[in-house]
Amino acid sequence: MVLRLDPALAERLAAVAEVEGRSVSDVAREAIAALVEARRKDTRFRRLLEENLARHRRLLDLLRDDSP
Amino acid sequence: MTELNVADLVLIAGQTLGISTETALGQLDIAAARAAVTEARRAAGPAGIPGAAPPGPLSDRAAAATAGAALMHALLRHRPFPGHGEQVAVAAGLQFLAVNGWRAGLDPPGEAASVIRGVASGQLAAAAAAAWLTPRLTPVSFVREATMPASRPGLWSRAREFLAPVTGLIPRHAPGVHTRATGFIPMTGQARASYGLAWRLAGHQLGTEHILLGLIGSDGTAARALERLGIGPEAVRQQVGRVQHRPRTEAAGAPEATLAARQVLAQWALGEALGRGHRSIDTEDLLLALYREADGAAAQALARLGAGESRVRGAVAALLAESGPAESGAG
Repeated sequence: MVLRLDPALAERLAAVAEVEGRSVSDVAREAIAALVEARRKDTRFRRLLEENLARHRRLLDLLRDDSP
Repeated sequence: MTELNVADLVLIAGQTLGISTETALGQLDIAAARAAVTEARRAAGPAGIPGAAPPGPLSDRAAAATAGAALMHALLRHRPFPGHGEQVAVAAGLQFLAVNGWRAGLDPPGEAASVIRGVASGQLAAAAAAAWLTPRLTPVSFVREATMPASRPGLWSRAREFLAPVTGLIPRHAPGVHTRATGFIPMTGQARASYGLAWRLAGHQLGTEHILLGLIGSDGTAARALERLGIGPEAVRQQVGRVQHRPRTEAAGAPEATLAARQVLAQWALGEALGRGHRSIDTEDLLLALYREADGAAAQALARLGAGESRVRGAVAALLAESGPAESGAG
């Protein structure tokens, strides 16, 4: 996978990847996963998301890729 | 303005698609996600430039619609979740609006789906999607403070009309009209002419009845469809009755459109046009859109004339079939 990252961020990720002997992609995904976990604890964000998904369920069903 | 980041997209995708965030993360194209987020920020204009807008809710409706449409457009273009592009783009756009203090009313879903697919296919620009979205946004705080009485929806409509910002509709010599509330609305020449007439017929307030009078006072498929049903301009004028047929004077100032008229112009008529595969609103779109505001004077006058929606829709379809595809704003 090719990543297009800010130079400073790419440098930090590359440094972590080198030290830990992993790919930059793996390190990037781990960093995103940590951010996801943090956001998951944001009750307002989750409540708004659940409300939106419930209110627009018919529209989202229409937009399923296997729908006509 | 509160922006969404790549991690937010993962959480939204997981919840939307009914999969775990780990699975969503596994499906994520990180490069596409970053490109979409960056593009949306740039396209949002000054509000999207870090430091140019204060953090927190977006106070301007048009700016919120622009930023939300820009995010959806960017996600539809870059598709960070291959195979689920449209669902995730819409869910992310709605979430972006929600965290910035806006709730979108996207009913009917079929019309909204047409708009989304138009953006996804490149037939509809982000700016046009933003214009479509703007009148559908309601401040979240307003929604929370006012509870809609389930048995009295008309009361809710009147309350919204009363509380809605005062807005004038100003026709311009361009392929469409520009409203302060909704931005640019694409219209064909005949639709602009009928709207211009409606604007001149209105006194201090432009209602749905003025839109109807504008339609029957100018050439176009709408007027011809009514004539085909045996309903001439004079019969319509008599039914509308209360409207003053005098040119608006400069001293009277620009007419302000009612909420119903704004919805006919920027919401229902655009939906009719998009549903027909057209990019611009034509006179028949305006006529059919009037039925969506059933409490409006225009819809009531048409009903009293025996011009029910199904009859008029049939007459419009017949006329369009006879005239061929070149007459309307297809393309």
